[in-house]
Amino acid sequence: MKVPVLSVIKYSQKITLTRHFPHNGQILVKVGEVVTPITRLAAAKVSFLRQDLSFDGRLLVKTADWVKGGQVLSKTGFFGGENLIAPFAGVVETINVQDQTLTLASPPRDFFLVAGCEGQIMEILEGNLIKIQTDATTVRGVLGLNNGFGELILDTQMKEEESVGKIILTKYLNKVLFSKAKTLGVAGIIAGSLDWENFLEIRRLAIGLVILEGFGVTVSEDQNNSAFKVLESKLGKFVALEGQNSEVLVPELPSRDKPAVLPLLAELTAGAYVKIFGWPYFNAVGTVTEVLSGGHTFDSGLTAPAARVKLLSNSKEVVVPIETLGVLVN
Amino acid sequence: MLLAIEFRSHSAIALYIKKNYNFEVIKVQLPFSFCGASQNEKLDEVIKSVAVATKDKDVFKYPAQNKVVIVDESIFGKLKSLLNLEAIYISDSFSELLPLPDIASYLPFKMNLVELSNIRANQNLIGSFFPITPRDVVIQAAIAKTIIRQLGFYKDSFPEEMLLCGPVFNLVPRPSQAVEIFLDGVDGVGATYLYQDKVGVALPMAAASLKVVAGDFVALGSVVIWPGPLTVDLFFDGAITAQKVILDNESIARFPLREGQTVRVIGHGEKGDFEAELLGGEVGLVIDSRHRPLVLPQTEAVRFKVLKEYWGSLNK
Repeated sequence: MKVPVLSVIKYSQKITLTRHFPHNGQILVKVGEVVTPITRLAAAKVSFLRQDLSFDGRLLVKTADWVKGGQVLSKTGFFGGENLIAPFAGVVETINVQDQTLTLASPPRDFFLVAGCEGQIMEILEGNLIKIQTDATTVRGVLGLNNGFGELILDTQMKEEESVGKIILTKYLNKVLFSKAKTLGVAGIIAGSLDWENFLEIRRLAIGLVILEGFGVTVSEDQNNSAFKVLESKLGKFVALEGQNSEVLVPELPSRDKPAVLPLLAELTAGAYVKIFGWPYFNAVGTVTEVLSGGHTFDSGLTAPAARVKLLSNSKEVVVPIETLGVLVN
Repeated sequence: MLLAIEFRSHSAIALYIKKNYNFEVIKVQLPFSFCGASQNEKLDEVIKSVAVATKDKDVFKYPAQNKVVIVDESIFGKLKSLLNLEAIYISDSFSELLPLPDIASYLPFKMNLVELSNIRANQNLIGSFFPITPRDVVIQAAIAKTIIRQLGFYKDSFPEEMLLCGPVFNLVPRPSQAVEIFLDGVDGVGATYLYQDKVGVALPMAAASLKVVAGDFVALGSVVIWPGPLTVDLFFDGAITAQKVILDNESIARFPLREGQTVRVIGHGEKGDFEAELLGGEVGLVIDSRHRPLVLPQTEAVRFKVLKEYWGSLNK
């Protein structure tokens, strides 16, 4: 019986990376130019810290006002509440009186967009989209939103000012971590897993996100086939989040080896390394020890073609329906 | 020859006709990378898989583009015209708008809503629909019941016969569990005869312009929904003496009645009287005298007990 082939990690040649320059600035490269990871593509003045703040009572500032860190921005009235204090020095970018919110941005500083990869400039579009041809390792997740590009760091390395424009790698994305990442201006997040209810809130915001394994699952510890483990070995590199494809691209040095072409489906045999997509073993990985002949009747009362799988996590053998399996090939 | 294909969210059901003119239904798992693939790519993959399964090279000659049914939200509105038969289709992809507390209210055990929402999300995304444990069967059934209620099918009365189809109804271990999903999901009052599409042949047959007839499916039997308290006289297979049954307003009663056997049912209840000549099937005759719309007890322990009793009445 054939089952889907899961290719979590693959090497691709001549892929196009799109670098987005979100500001009015100066493009520093030309089409055809060969670039290295540190080649400056564009330059501009950018605010590195930006925060939405809620206020009630009387507002003491207006749009475009410069404020100091600790300055009182709004004063409460007769009925109490709390004064709004500026958490850092900056400029009041926008004020929404109806929602009683304002956006505070830190003072603009010089910002250079670097290529982040070895390659060649293929196209410059609308003055702020720069397409670069490069080779890359593609790590496939299960769901993604928006795009993002930046240096890959671990969630534990996230620090003020140093996290702007970075891509955060975390095993599990919770609300606290997400709020922190958003406040610090990260370019995107790669999460092994998160809860669906948190995803509902996060997807409203325009931030790059790739979910590697699913909702509420334990991230696989498998060294060779875990997307998380592979990305953990790429820390410090520039990576691109391609939300619409649920992929993370890690630009690599060009290789002469042709990437392997994998089939979409493969015959399930003993020894196959598999991932289980049925409950109660969802997301577990293991090795097929036997493809059972005939149908197997499960505790649910249903009968189906089945295989015996030795789980990687605890070496326990379980019998699962073949239709819940995918073969891991990398 | 490959006749037609039904594309579900993670799989496809292909209807194949053999040289002896017998049908074969082939289930094809679609690669996970196909979630966003075009219909033509999926079609090619299904044709290849059917060619391998049947060793029939002629499958490639099949011009299938116009004989494909895509299952999405719109399928519910199209069912009657597609099948020429009243039907309820429960998909393997669940709207995220389904209220989780409503799903949990159908579960006879405690379940964290975060876990439930994660299971639902994973299932829509990558999960297999195959229930391995009894707990999974109950969760799938709870989701199906909530979908039926949300869609508001058959709120007032029922047609003479109905087909229960789609992945959930293909994968219930016992025929009585298909009836249970129907009874807990609908709000209407009256009698109907239920069929179950056990192998998932209904939509591919409709796509291949084959006449879908009730005989192609498992005949489950008759159900009567009439809120009690209720006194029912049952005259099995033309009997002169009635079997008298008294039901309160929280009961489900199942009576053995094989396919081909008949029963005359005369009911007297607070909501009025009814009389019908009904047919048997694998499940038999089921009389549901619970209040409509169905209201389950608020207290968790009481609700668990009541749900287990309902399950016991139908699946004894």
